[in-house]
Amino acid sequence: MNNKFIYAAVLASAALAGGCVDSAYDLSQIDGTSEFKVNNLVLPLNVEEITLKDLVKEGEIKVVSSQGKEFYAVTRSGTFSTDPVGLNEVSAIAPIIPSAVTVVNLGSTQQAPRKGESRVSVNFEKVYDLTGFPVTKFSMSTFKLDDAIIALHSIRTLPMDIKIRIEAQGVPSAMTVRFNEVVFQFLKGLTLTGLPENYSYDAASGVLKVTGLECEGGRAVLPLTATGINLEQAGATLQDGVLRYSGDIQLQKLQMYCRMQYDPLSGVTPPTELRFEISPEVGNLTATHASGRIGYTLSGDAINIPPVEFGTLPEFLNSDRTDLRLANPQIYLKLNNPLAGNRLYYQTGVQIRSNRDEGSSTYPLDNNGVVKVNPMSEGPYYFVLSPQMPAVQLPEYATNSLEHVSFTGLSEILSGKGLPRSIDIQLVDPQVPPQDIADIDLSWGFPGIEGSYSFLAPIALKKGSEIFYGETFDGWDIKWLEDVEIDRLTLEADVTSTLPLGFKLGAMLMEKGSQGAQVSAETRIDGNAVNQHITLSFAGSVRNLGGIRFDAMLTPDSEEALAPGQTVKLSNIRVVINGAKKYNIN
Amino acid sequence: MKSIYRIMALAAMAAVSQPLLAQEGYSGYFLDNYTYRFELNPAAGNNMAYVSLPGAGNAGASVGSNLDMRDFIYIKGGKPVYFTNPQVTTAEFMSNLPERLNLNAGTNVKLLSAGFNVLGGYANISVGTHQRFGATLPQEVLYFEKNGLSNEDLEIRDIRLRTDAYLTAGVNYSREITDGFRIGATLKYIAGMASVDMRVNKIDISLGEKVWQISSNADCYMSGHGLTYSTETYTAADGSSNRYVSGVDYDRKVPTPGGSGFAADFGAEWKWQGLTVSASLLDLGYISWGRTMLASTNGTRVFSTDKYSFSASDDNKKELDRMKDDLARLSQLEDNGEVPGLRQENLPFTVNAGVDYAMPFWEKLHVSAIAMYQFGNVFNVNEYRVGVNLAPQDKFSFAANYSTGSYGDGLGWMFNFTTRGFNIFMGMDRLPLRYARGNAPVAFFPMSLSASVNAGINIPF
Repeated sequence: MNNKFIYAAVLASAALAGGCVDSAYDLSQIDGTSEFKVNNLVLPLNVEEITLKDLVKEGEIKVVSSQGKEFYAVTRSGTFSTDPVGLNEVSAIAPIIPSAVTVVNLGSTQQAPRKGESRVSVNFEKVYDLTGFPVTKFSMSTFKLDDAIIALHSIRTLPMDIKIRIEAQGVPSAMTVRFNEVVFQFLKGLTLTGLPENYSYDAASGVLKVTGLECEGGRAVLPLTATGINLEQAGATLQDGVLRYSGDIQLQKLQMYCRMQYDPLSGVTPPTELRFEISPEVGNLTATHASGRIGYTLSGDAINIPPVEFGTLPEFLNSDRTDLRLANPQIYLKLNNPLAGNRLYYQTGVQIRSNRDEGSSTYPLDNNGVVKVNPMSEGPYYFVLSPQMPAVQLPEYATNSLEHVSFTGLSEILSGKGLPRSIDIQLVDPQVPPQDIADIDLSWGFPGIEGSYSFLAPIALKKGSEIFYGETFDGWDIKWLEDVEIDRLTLEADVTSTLPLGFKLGAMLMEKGSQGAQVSAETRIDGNAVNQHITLSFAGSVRNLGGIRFDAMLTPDSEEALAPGQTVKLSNIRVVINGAKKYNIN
Repeated sequence: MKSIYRIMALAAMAAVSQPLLAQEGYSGYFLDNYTYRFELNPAAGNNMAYVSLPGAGNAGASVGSNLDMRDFIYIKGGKPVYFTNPQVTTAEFMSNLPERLNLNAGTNVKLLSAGFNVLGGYANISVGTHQRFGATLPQEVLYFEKNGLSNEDLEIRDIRLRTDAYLTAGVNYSREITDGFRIGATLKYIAGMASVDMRVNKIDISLGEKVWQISSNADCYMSGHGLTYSTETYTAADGSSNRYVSGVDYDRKVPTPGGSGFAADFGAEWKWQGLTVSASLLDLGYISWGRTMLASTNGTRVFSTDKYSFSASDDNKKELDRMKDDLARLSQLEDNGEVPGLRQENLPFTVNAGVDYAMPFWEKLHVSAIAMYQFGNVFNVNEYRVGVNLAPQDKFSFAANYSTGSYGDGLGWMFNFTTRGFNIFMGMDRLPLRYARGNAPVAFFPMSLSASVNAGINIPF
């Protein structure tokens, strides 16, 4: 009995202890390699229709409404003006003209009494034709004229008194002297007014003739009033801003009649010679009107248009890889012409300059053209400077008189590596170009040319433009992502777009660390796509995902402007992921 | 699923924090002089009267599960690997895994018990405490963990966790009514202390290619005096708020019964020559809980990705917050307050059947076979046991057996020593049969999560 009990106990113990340990299950050797798989998992994703107005925050880019259309544009408006324009007075102080003195030999004046005359009364009567008088130089210089005056052909002046004194000295009081004819070579070009009938003046030759000039005691005065000068006839010169009017004054001929009743025995006899003193006087010159040629350079601080800064543009326009060529940017100008009253016009060139850190580029109007107003009307004048006449114009400039000025280079204003820091709209050499004036009142003046401008650059891109937008999301330090290996990642969607831009969309999965692998994928979305199926497929595996980078290169498919209502709709989105998180459970 | 998980965790902790065990002692079903055979079959009497050592007459704990280490650790290339290893296929794992993952645990402590001969039979009176915890989950809860994420639909149904604590006071009487045929019955009054019955009716996950949808439906009944749900306020990103169940409050200093009920055990035993045939029906009864608090999703909550649409115009924080809020609400239970009326809870009942045969060549050596079926718990349990009982002396007996069933294979044993004035016994019903090598200082790990132990000291007289 005891043996049986022992047998049973041994059997039970052996069953309990030895035979039940499965050496294959050695937990000290367990391999902790594990994975959590993602098996071609399709992530459902609903994305709202992307409207451009949701992406573009208004800053330097604004929504512009015109003729029932809305579009995005870079805009800038303002006014400018020139300094007042006018002419300084044309005046000169009367010059001091030296007298011309000469002695004229009258020859023998003794005369035997004629039959019937008493010895004590002799009648002396004789006519002399005297010549050979000296020449007096005349020169008058104005104060410095206005720089605008290029040439003066004639002027009208305030009445300018001219006196020519002729004095024959040594004439006895008993002698009657009369100047039958006086011929002066006088100043040319004068407009003499109020000349008595016995005066004649030839402005072209400057010859002044006077007949029958009474003179008492041998003195006579020729009073003249000049109210203008034909400066061309006068041979006046304009040099260094100073008008010089000069000429010779010479008594060319003097026919003098003398009669004297004298007693030869009295000792008073007709003189044999006379001393002549010719003293011309010319008063101050103050011009009131002028004809000639003028030209202004328009200037003034207010003529400078403030630069268009691009500091507040959306980030996607700011990449160095963005190169924008605008389809039809426009500069609108509204100008007046206050000079029209004088039948004058002005003009200005326009150039636009893009300022970048590496330098500036300047784009002038085509063929160095200018914007020119009509001299016949005060305006206003409307201009649009652009590559082509825009079909849709800014309302405040959309008039029948809107004149298009070709400005092809404007398209390039934003072109380059990224956007410029700023752009300048510059008026180049604004001027009243040299043009003739006819008897204009020299007292005129006006407050200056006033204008307004609008820079309108619709974000409408032409071929060759590229907008690059890149965004990197990296530095991920997500514990769960450690040891995650993505074998395949595919994004599929149907795209309907009303954007006039096509997209080349790239994405890159980046492993942690600078030496990590990078797997990229690329697809293309056409502008104005209709249900275009796109696939963004990453080939290759990425482990320890540290970030993702998106690159989008946008290129124009048409020259339609970007507008806030344009949309991109992604439908039937399928994001397919295949991979696993590898980890060690130990 | 914050709220649901909290309740589940609390229920588990409530049970596991007790010393483990439930219905145990099957190794002593046919063991001579095992004092508490009447708990397995009310028809079983004792030779001597006895009184238990207060609080130590019969105490035990058990844990039983159909899970096995081999469900989670595989041998690949001669080396053990986890089921998450790429070499283990999803099909291999899922086919190996039980369809439902079951776990039972519990404790029994006999506070006082006494037995004596009376009225031509044998009577027992006993007072004891019982705590039990049961959990059952479908194998699908581990599907995504192994298979990973793919565009599939997964239906997770009937996750259930239940824990109860109650006191019993029972009177047993048995007697032989004919020669060799003995019957017995036990009538028990039950004072329910606490009960939590968490039912996650469904979690449906549909990862479609066009829409992902998760729906949940759960209820939690909690009974017991002084037990209420604690709640917290969830404030969503849009400013709206709601309260959700975040835990359990207990406001009694002295535990008070919150429910009462009755249960009965019935048994019969027939002996003929060396053969003993035994059958019993245990715990036919109920507990009626007087105050039951209900937390619920109040219907099915649905999270669906087609409700959310993302925009390129902003950072989508608002939409992401809305998604996060809806996901959080998916698992939040609302405190519905007290359920009107009484909540009646049937006790899990057990059917035992056994046969024992004394060897003709040595009548002190018996062979036995026992079948046990338990119904009405969060999952049904069966267990089949064959063994030997050896009583070489009147004072000393020993049982050894092999069991298989819902909890897998196991070995059982019991040792019993009885002499007038002193009885001690100790046994284990499911000693794991297979072990894995471990790391020092633990040299071996049982492969199955099933074990039970019970022991007691009594004073026979």
